Amino acid sequence: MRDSLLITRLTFGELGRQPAVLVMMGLAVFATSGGWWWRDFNFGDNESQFLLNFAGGVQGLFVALLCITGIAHTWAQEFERHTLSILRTRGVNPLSLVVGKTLGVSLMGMVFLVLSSVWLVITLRAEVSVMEWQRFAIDVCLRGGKMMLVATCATWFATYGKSLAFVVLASASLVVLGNLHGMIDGEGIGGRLLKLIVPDLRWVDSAYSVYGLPVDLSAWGGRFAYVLIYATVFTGLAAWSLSRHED
Amino acid sequence: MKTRISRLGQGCFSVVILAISGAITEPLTRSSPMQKELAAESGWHRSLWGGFSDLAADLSWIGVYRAWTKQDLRKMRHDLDRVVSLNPKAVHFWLNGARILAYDVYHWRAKNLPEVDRARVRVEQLQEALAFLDRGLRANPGRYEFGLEKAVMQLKGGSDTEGALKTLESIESMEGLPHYIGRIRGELLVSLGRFDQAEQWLRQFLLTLPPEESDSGREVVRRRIEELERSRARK
Repeated sequence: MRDSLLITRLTFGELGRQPAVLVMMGLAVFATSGGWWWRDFNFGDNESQFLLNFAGGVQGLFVALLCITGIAHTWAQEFERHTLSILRTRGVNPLSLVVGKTLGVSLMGMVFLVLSSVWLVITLRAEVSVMEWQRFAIDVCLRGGKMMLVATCATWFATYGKSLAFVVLASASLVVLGNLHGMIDGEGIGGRLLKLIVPDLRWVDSAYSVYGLPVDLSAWGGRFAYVLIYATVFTGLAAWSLSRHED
Repeated sequence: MKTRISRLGQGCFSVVILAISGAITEPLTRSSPMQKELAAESGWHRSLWGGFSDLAADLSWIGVYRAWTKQDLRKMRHDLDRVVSLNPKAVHFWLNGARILAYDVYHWRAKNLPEVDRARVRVEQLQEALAFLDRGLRANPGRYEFGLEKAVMQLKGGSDTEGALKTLESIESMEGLPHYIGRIRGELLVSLGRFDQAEQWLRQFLLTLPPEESDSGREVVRRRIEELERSRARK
């Protein structure tokens, strides 16, 4: 536990210095700030709602990309520098490493999510009359859950594939497939298997919260359990991959 | 070679574990009636990110109008379903869609039919439109516009005054209800011949109208009560 927290802290600090992560943050701030310009084109509630949904969608996309690039960089560096063996010889077990790094990136993602949400509210608050605070808060929480799933999944790819390009491509593909879950043809054997092994990311996305008010507690409990089960599975697989790693 | 086989085995094992996780978590995604309904209605378009789905809904709505100009019923129904799945929160899509189903589609279908069959088609289209509005209300609970539109359709399309009255009564407690709906309710009671009930309702309704709002129609309601009183006195 102590090891994990230490790795979390170090990963968080390290990510703050990563150019790719900083570029992602800058792009997200730039995209969200576009709301200032959009406000002049507010012709009513429908447009405002569209603007709000669009900004939320862009934010979700950037958070997912931030997690993927963050995980890919931090693990690729460990493999390139052969620093994992040093850590292993000092008694740090693979699970602590995986949990620590995933938490570090997730923490960065969470900070980014909260800051960009606050920025979004500041940008749009004055003009958007349709802002439903309860729904907005639920959407941010759902995006946080989705981000956790993406982070743990990318960690698994990182410990399995060990190359930066593989992690980014595989994670991005899984995010796309997870978001297009409904599009996968579940009739054939291949389609059924694909649908079974790819987590349905829509389930932890705001796309499913349109009917979600008033809040359906059993559905929210289900979502929480869904994230927990998949995060545990991905983390377990990543720790297992790492334990089999030979430097 | 051995390492490669070992990694392949590791990948296969991971896929098996993920498949088991998928089988375990699948029932969770259907944990409530709301989610079951969503799962049944969802298509690829529901998975688009946030605002993109709203944009796609707007574009699909143009498709609805294109099908409408060609009176292509099959395509119009298909596009309409897609529009409301993409953006179920946009009330105007539901209302305009229901109007097309109830009024326009009836005319398209009835134009070459004998008089006897026209009544049947009218009822069919009305039922389809009312069911569509019910779906819209489930997606937008608390929005009075659906009840109001339903009542108008029951009244104009089906000449069902009793049904329209019941629908208006069902939306009575909804937020943001315009004052004129109370007056319509009074008129429906009058047209059903329930004069005493209408008078009683209008008196009760008058008390709820804010005096500070000039457009609340207090004067209209008061005049109507007086008319009802006079007609009662004449009897």
